Amino acid sequence: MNSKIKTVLGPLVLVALLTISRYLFPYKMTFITEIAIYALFVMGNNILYGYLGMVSFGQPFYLSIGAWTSAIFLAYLGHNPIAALLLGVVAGVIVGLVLGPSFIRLRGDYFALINAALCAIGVFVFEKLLMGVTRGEDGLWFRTEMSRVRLLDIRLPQNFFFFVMIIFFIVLALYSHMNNSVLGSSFKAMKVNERKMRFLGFDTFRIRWIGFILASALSSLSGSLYALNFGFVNPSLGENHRAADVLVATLLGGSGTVYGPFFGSLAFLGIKDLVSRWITRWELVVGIITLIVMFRFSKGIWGGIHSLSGRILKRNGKPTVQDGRRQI
Amino acid sequence: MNQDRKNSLLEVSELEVSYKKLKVLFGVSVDVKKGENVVLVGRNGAGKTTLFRTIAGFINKGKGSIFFKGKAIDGFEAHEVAQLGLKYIPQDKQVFSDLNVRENLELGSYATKDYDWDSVLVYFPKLKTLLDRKAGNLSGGERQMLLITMAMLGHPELLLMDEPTEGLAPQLVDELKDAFKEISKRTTLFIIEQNLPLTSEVADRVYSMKEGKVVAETKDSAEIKEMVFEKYL
Amino acid sequence: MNLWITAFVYGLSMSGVLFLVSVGISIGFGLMRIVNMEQMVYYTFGAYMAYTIVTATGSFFLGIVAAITVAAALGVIVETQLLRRVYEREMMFTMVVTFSVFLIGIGIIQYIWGLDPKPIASPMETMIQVARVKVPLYRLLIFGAAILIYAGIQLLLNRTIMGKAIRAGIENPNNVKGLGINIYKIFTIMFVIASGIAGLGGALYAPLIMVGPYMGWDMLLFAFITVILGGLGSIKGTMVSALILGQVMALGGTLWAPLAFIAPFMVMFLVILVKPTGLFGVRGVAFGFQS
Repeated sequence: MNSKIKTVLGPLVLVALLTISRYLFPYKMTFITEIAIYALFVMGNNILYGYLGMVSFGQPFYLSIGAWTSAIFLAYLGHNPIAALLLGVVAGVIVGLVLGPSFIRLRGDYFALINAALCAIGVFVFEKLLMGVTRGEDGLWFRTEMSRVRLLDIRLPQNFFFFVMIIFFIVLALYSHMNNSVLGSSFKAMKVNERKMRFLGFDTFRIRWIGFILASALSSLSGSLYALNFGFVNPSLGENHRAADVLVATLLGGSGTVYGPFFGSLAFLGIKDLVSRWITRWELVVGIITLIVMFRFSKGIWGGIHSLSGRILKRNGKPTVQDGRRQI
Repeated sequence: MNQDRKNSLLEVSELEVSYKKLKVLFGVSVDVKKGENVVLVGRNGAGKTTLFRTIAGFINKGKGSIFFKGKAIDGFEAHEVAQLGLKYIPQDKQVFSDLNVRENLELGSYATKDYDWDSVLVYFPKLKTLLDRKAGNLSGGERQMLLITMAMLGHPELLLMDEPTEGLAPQLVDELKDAFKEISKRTTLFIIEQNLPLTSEVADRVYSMKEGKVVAETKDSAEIKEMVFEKYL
Repeated sequence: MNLWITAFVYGLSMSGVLFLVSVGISIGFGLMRIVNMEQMVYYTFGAYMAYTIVTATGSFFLGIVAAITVAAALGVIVETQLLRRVYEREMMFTMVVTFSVFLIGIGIIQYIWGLDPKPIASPMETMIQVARVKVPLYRLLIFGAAILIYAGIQLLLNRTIMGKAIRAGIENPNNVKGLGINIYKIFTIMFVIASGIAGLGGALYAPLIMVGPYMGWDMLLFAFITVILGGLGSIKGTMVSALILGQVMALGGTLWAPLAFIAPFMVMFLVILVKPTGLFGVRGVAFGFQS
């Protein structure tokens, strides 16, 4: 009973804080909405990078799958945004199911590269090959196609905000639950010593596959929400450049934690918002931030808060011994 | 005491080393005097290789100090240590398999600017017949011979050998033993060995390590035999 | 038929450029066990330097010299300041770090030269006769340059003592150190050569494409495909696969335009999934699959 409440409490508090912020800063409502949507994307990457230790340079592809699925559905096939959302997630799951077995058996750098390749191909496909459907570079407009949903007309930004908050809460609670469950522990254990996990009888292939599917699903969910938010999708959503963004956000927030992705999203979008007023060369900033985080802040924001509070509360000073590294 | 210091080639004090967060050496102290062959024995996992690799500069130490020829070499890079005259021959008998024997030796000469191959090939003359063979095609014993010969270029003063006779047939072990006796006329040897007969014949002094610590040391030949047997079982 | 001959020549120049930009990645992985995501920075800078010098002085030759010099200088800076610190870390760490350098490089280029693509005039318009078709001599020269560089590298690796030290280092860097050879100095030298060559590739290719800040992106992926197909750490492999891929792109593109872009990726997918060690994967460098 206790742990169930704990699982739900954190997300509840976070969502409550976000809702309060929305009322305190009404002009920032769209920004807060975007933070939540992006956080979902980061949560997906976090499963790959933070929990499983796999770097992917192609996460925008999975985001764009969700976005395009929803967009094409609404533009040509139907009008219900909820259906579009569900379809987007389903598409993500399917992609994860299909690509998973081939991708996950690759070693780190190959996994990163094949995802990068996938991303490039994705952009090409959506921008050039399927131009008839997707309208290529111009993108697909479908805002006018969305119909009113019975309980909540999410076409209105205020209502959409609530909609996103509800989804964010549910996903975050599930995420937290996963973190504390056997699955979550399996992920983390695999990152540390996969061979031992196999010896213990765990099907590490299946575990990794599940992680891959979850990441893909979360990314497409985020993509669909992006689509619904703007009423418009274009191929730049899935561009290779964006691959670095989500990695930075994951690192900034604290990889491998439940709330890290949220803080990462907040920090990243916050910095972007601030900086882009003065600097349009976004790549430069992302690159520099990544370097700083990789070398100095490997725990990220949430990770730092976590261990700081741990030290204050528990006074557990582990004697640190110097590393014996330096073996090429 | 002072006299000892002068002859002391290698002085290791209170050395502590860890791999990531796992401590493997807990305050190890050994010393090797010039001209005195020292053997290090101990079970697998006792930390012998770690000790050698730290001395040679492949592993960063935690606490403690390492002095070679009176000079502190803690924190030195492996190639710097080698240039000072301390060479480490690893356990895995790895030569540069893509190159032939001659080219392997050329690399040794390139490093030390010592092109007098005759004086090093005298220990293992067999190598003279193998100069054009690709090093990857050598047998284990031949590789060990090549490694030692390469290391001897440049007249190192101290040779750290990590289980040189491991996996070799008894006849080869004898060959190596004789070679060691010749080599030690010019170079001091510090050897990790599991081979008991060789140890008692070659060693002037023996250290025994267990679980990251030095647990015994002796010069007496009878004691060596006894201690080595005992510490082993 | 004429169409195919032209395409073949285009493929040769593509192969040339692919080889030049991929050599650094191949050696970087084989020798230093790092995945060099920032290699394209040298390529792009090379192209931009060529543009700047050609616009200023009109001499393409000077442009090439400037490109190689600047690229090599950048290589030294990156290697000594950044890469030295990450040699002992795991591969993924270096991958993300070098990727960041790549991003920073793009940012700097945007800052200095702006976002618009810059055209460079081709240094020669001469066409020569091959069979019954006239093809641009320049493209053949690019290929020639790549072959020369390839021969040069092979000579270096096989005939000079430094080259042998490099080959030894690819196999077992620790033993090289143990002999007393400063392997870090060798890394730096190799790195300078590799980045200089990438810069040359950029300068040579620049007249054939528009020079833009993002020209490195696509080339980065193609370069990795080249190296993966050829086998990381094998120079011969890089050359052979550059030849194959160049033709795949040119001939495939003649068949159906989108193939020029997609075909290499399909090749990469196939290689990764079927034979990850590539055509000439170097012994001791097992990769592809999880342990």
